[in-house]
Amino acid sequence: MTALNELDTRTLVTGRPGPTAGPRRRRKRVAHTVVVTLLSVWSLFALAPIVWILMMSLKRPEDIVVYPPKFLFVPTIDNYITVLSGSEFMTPFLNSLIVTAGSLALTLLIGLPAAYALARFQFRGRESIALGILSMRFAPELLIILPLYLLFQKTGLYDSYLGLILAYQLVTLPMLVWMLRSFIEDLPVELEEAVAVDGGNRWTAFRHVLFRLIAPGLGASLMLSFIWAWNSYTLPLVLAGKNTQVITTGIQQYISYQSIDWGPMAAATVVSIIPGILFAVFSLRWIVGGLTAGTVKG
Amino acid sequence: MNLLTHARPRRLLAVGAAAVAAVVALAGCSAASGPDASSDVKSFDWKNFSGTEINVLMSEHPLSGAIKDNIGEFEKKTGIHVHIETLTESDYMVKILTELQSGSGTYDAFMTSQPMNYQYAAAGWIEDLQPWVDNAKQTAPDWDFKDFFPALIDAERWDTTDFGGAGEGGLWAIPANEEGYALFYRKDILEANGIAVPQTIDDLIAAAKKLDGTQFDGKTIHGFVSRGDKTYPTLNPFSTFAGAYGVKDITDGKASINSPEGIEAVKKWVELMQTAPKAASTYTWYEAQQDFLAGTSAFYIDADHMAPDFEKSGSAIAGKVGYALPPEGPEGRASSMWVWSLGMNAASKQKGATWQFIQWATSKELLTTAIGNGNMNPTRVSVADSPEMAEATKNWGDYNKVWKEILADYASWPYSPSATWTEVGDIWATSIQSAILGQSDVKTALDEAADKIDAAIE
Amino acid sequence: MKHKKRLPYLLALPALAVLVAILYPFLTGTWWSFTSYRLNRGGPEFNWGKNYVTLFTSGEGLHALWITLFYAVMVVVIECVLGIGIAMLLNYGRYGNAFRLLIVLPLLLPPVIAALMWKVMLTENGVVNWLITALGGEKQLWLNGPDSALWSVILIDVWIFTPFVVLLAQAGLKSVPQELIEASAMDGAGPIRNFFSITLPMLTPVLVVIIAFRGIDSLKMFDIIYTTTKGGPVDATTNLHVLAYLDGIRNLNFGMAMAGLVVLWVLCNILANLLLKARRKEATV
Repeated sequence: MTALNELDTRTLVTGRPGPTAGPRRRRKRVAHTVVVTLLSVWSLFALAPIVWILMMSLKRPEDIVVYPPKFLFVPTIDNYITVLSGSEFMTPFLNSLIVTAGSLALTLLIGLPAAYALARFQFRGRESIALGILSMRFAPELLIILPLYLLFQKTGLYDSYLGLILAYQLVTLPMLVWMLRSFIEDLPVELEEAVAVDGGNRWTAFRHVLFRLIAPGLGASLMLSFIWAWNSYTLPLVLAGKNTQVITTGIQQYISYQSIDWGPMAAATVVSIIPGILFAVFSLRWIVGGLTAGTVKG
Repeated sequence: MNLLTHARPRRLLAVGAAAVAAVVALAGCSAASGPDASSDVKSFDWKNFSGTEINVLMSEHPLSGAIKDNIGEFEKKTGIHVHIETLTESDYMVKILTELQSGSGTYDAFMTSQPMNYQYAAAGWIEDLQPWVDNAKQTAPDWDFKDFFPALIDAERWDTTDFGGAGEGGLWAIPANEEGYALFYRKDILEANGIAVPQTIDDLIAAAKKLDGTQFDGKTIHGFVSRGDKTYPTLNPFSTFAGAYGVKDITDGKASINSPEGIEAVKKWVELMQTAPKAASTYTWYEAQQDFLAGTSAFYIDADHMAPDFEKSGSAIAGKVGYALPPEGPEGRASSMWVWSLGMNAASKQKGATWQFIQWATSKELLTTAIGNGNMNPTRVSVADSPEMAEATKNWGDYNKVWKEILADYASWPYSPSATWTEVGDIWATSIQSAILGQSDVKTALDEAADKIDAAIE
Repeated sequence: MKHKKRLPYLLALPALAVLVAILYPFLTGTWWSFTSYRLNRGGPEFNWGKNYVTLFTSGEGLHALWITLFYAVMVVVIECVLGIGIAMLLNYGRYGNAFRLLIVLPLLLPPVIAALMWKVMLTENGVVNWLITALGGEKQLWLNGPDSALWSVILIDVWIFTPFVVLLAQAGLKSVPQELIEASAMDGAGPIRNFFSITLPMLTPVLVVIIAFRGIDSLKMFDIIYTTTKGGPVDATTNLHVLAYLDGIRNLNFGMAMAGLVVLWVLCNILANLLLKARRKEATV
């Protein structure tokens, strides 16, 4: 059996005279039910608001602001049409895609070597550098945003994709480096040393062996960095302009002076989490692959 | 940006520069204000700045909606290319502040309000528009400055002395949208209970108490609802009570919110708010409005221009709302006002073009069209009396009459102008909230707040 | 393998470059915290740390500090307990990616939007109260009550960020060797004892990362709080970041605002250092 089921293995391995098959299976079933129940309770809690938003995105305006709240209604796709057909939302959406993808690419380029260095080498100032990278996250954005705005204006980075991609590093780089560092540390050095014995150098070891093994860790780190970059709010608010406005600011356009266009805003929210879902589906498959990584450990 | 258009006027202007310097000296403002060399022209013409580009930053608002919808007309008329960005209000405040503080002049025009004017004028970030208004070469002959309600223009003036000089000095923005504070009531609920429209504060409190908790239409009714949140916009509805008791926030450089009248006004307000939903103590205008729209409150004091939201189709209370003057107190009736206006960045590099934009956006034509976008109340007398305004409000009972009466007779900006006014306002609003919540009695809360204000303004 | 002495430094160099780049804005902000800088009243003037004194002696500042710490501790503890618990449940059987994806969904929403949606759901006449009354309970004040506002905000934070803990904990749990648990079970230890003496210590590296990021983010939390309560009612949810925003953006008192933010920065620093020490201790075990 591939699922490492603690109870079962223990009974198998201990070799103790097991209780009769009946009660053991019943105990297993009870445990299983409890687990599923608990998980379902949490899923309900986690999903209910999202389902609510989904419903809101399909409601006509008069069905939204009512009490008691309506669960049965005639759905309409008007909100989605509004959102998807104008450039008012689609342009920020596209900008977010560009900036987030660019940030992740740059972060990977900068962060992966750094994580590897921190994990595999012993060198002076290692912990200080690790702390330094983490410290990029300490500063609340408000602390740096005014001088940063001026800096961006002076250097022409304001309202540019490059500027945003650089600014986003503050958010994504510490995350990626720290997570990757712990994932790399978890993997045994013996593998790379085996490659060295076969005459390869570090780079070869990295390429052929390590990269595949840290895939699940990389997947998790990238996904989380994606989420944080995609949802970043204050930095793009101040540093992006008319050409680069991202969705976090763009969604708020539905909050007008005296009212909130809930329908289109809910639809815009749903559309804006689709890239995240796709990315998650893609990288979660990698994380599951972590099961095989465990078998390498001595 | 077309460098050619800039180069030619510059070469012509040795003499012009001297004249401009004189104007600037007379205006007594910072060196950067007033028509400068780059915007000097021979005479007024909409095409004077053709080929230039300006950037405008605005808050999400019917006004900005109207401007966005009609900007093409402006661009055709002038040849100026306009980039408009709009943000939701709280985001907008962060961005405009960051921008103005940097002095980079990235945005030329923006939406502003009285507290914002005070903050920005004190810092020299916003352009004094009076020299522009007075300059016949920059201002369209038919723009008609006198058409604006005098009270509104007064609210835009300040000579930058702390806590004084309101209504005098520089003109910091041109008004484009006005709101006063009115008493809304449910005609049907009052009729069913045989209650007359209250005229005084005590009448209102009595009526609200009588109606509180009664049943109507299958729902339990609250007597009253209004804003209760801890920030200074909450003072706007409260201003009806504050003004009715003659309360001043600062007198002779010291806080006077805890004067006997001040305490009395807050006591009455707190009493009235006890008939409001418990959650109202944290309501912003949005939640209070939603509450009234849900039909569960008999009285509501807030911005008069919420009428369109009450009366639009699909609203549960359409046709059932009465519009009354704010209730009377010992000093009569009173109302604050909130004026959204358009201002110019003092660091703008396209001031001439920007001034044309501001003129167009506050012209009779645009403001009349903007009624259709929901931009109320109009800030020009002619637009206020226009058939379009009458047409838009014809189904709203007394609304058109009431708002004009409020603006004409009772509305003013009652607070002391100062760069720190927002802080003062926040402290005052927080103390009122704390009294409503019963966390402290009115006198203590106001005394503590007065101390805090004194500390903040020294 | 030959250790090229400079290699690790070279590998980490680009990352360090980013760090250096934000030094200028960071130092500017810190400088401002030592001045009485009101944005619209001339330039910054050195005031010998008066802002910090005010911050720590005024009820306002101390209260904000308390809220900051309370919020961060509650949020981190609740999310870790829930997150690790859920991760263990998920590891119990093969539930497939669908389940994991569903659990991750709350994390995908921008916190500002999620907070806005929750705000609407938690209003007096919102869905949640409706549900409660339908089940026979009483309407709650949630974000509008002076005592319940902070917990409501914590609830929203837990809803959004527990999946973060779940994801990392899951990955971490996979590296806990089953053989150790089985061997210990053979010696007669129960599942609870196994958890605390084997699983938890082995989770330490991942836990450090989790607590570091959740801790730092929750100390600095702004979006959720400001969107829902603006720090109210009165100051029930005003943490240092919200206070700094009110001081800086609303009142233009930037010197004061920066002081609060620098204090936040220091708190994050302390947390990170503590965690790094724990990490080093575990590594040598």
